[in-house]
Amino acid sequence: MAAINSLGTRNEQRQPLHKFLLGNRDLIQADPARIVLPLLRCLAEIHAEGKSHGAVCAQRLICAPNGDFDVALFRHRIGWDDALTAAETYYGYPNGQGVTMEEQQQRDKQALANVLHLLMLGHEVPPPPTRLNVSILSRLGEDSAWPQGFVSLVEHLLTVDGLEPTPELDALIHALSPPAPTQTPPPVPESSLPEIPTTPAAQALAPAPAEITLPEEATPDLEPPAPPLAAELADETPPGLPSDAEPPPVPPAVTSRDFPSPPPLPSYPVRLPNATVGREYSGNVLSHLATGALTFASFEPVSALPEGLTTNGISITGSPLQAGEYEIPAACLIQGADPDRPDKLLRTLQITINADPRSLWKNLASDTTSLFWKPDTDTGSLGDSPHLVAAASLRGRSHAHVGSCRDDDFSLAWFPQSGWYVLTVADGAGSAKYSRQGAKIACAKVKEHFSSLLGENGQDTLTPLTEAWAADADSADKRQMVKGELYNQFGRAAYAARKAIEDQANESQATLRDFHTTLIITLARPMATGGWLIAAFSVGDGGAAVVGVPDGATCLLTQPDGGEFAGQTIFLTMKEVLATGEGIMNRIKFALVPQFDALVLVTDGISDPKFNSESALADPAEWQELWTELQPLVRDATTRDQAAESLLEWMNFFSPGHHDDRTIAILCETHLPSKP
Amino acid sequence: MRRLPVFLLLDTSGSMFGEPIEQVKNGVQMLVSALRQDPYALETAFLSVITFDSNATEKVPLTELTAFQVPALTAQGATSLGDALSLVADVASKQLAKTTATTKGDWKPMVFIMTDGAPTDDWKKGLGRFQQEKWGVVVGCAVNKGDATVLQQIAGDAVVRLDTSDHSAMAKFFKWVSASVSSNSKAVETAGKEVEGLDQLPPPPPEIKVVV
Repeated sequence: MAAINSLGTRNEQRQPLHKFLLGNRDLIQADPARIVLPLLRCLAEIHAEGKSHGAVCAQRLICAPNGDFDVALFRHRIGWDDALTAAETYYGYPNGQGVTMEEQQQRDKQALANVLHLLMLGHEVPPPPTRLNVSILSRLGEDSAWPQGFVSLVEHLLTVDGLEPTPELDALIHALSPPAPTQTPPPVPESSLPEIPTTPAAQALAPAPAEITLPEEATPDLEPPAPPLAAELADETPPGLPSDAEPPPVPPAVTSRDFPSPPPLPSYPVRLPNATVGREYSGNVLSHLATGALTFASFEPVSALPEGLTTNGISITGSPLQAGEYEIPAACLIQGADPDRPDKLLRTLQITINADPRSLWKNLASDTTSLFWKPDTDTGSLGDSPHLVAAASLRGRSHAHVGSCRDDDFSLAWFPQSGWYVLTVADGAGSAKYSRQGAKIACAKVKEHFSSLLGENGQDTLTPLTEAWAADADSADKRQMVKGELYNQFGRAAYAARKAIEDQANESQATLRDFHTTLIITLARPMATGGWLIAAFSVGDGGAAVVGVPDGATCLLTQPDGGEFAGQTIFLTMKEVLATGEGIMNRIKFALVPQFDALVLVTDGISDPKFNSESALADPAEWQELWTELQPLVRDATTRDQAAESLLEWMNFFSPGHHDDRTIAILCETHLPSKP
Repeated sequence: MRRLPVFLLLDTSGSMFGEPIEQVKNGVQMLVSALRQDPYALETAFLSVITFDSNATEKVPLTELTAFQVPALTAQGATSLGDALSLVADVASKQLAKTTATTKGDWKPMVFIMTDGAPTDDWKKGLGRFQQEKWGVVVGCAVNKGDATVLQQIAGDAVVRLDTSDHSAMAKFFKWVSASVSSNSKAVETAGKEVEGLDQLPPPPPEIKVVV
């Protein structure tokens, strides 16, 4: 075995790569591919370091005892643990040929391409071509597949950076690519593989760089010629061969040797852009097939394309039906192929088809026996109110996916005695285990509080104050009185809700945190003046707005509680929320409006996908747009219950990344009569 | 849409040559295949691959999972971990959306750093740059002789060790990364909040040892 890599002797042994290989013929004959692969890697690495002349440097690879060239071994050749630095890689070696680094690297590549060509095709003298051919044939036809990615590596290396194609490269790629299976393999001609040109490629090649020129006379330091071929092959016969397999005879007979079904060679894989089930796909295959050296006129899939996709021989289009990883062998017609060479190459088209994200969502029913269970959907409407009040609540996909419960809730009320409407929505925190109950209690308690205030036998303090302000809208005092009373009533409602949740937590031996919920309460009442008073109190995200107010100014009734990074909200069940009077006051908004189209409350399952940002949430036009979507649902309903059902159906809309529970409550004019 | 950015910082220095780098490639492929089955991750997680050897390279910019393709990885050169930290910080500050009055920002990024050596560059300088940006979970993974103490200064308590770089160990690691990304995707989509530390991620399998 050639030992070439002690630091001391390296320089003396500097010689062109081909010469080295010829001098170490046993390496070539053992397995050319095994040598070439590390050589290619080595050159690629040297070039990646911004260096050139890799054809010489590659010699510095250490030969492992089994004949492998091993870059890793090379690195550790004198016991260093560290990777070789670029300077070391190059230490003591001359620069390559060429003026610029680019030119030098290109020279390297050409030189190596020529060496590869020699190795692969065996067109070189001496020794007689048959020697190498037989060795390669035995490898090709029998046990050892080419190393995975070998051909692609060669292509990559030699075509990288958009360098001009070279005749050497063309020849090399042709020689390395297995023929397309649609072709009937011709009988193996003498001294040649089916896809190898019959003329010695060495002649077909452009003039080789000086480095590759073969010496005219045998150099004295060449090792003695290898032993006769037959013996060598017999030694190499892999154990997997049938026992009756004739040892391959000497050259002439080798050519007639049959390879009934050679194992399929891995063909150069070409990865196409990914597709997704149900989405229109269009991928130009030819542009992905093209290398620096070869372009293709068309391709023909050898096996069926994934269902839903079709091809015109240039691109693949359609809407795929089935997710998966697909590999499609394809015969690819070379553009302007040399008549002496095969005109088709086999390539493997690789394509990933993603599942339709919607199909990945499971819809598992929630466990009705779980504590605080509630139905996966809910709708409600008021039958007796002069205006339409309807709400719907839908379990989000994220909960449906794992069969957990809906966390959102709502409550609706109209008090005929006072004319007040109270609409409430609440969103239980996803991370809190009983938040569904927290939301439910909150909505129920709010309704209960306002019922005792504004309903039958209630001590209605709000109506007189609000009417007084409506009659004298410019009065700051009267406004202040309203504000004070709203503070009292919203505050009490919120306290009552939190107290009830606390009691529930104690009863269930859980903590308040397990019941975290947001809360949005809106109050609305038509005033004697013809206008309306609208008021709201909110803790946490989601939103409420009054849509279609003529001046466009009054819109958002809630103040989003968000942080710099999205998704940080606060809950009614947090201590600090009701801790100060100012804190409570800041959560209240109210206004007198002359008229409006709708009062709309949504939890963040709707506000997140429908409003892109907090400023969008404050934009009347954005709310108007939402109402434009909702209004026909209400308009076309034939009953109030049906209006609520329509809202529920609408909430099924799909928005990537938004799969939270959704709840909406609305108040608007209606043609639907109220029940007596 | 708010993205959940996931940065994989992978050591591709010379010592990763051969089996280790092949297993890393397999691992990334596995990771992507697994996440593609997860509806949360598929809609939310964006994946970027940054490699570091003699230099750091953004091999794959932040890409949604449906379009992601595993890059070609080769092992060569030194271990410029500091360069990688600077690069990922630059990428984060340029490409990630912060929440403002007019836009909802991306979620805080997850970072997984895998190395089998000790940094060969001025990694503290890179760390300084790295710390200027906001991160979610940052996990360090020391493979073989990888320097866990350096990773601890980057990732705090969230440093794990793989004693081998064979197929089984790498597969387990990337499976755990996948589970972590899934669980964070779910957290942001349901709880509206990112996972903050190792203790909120799925527990790693026994082969992945948490460095203490």
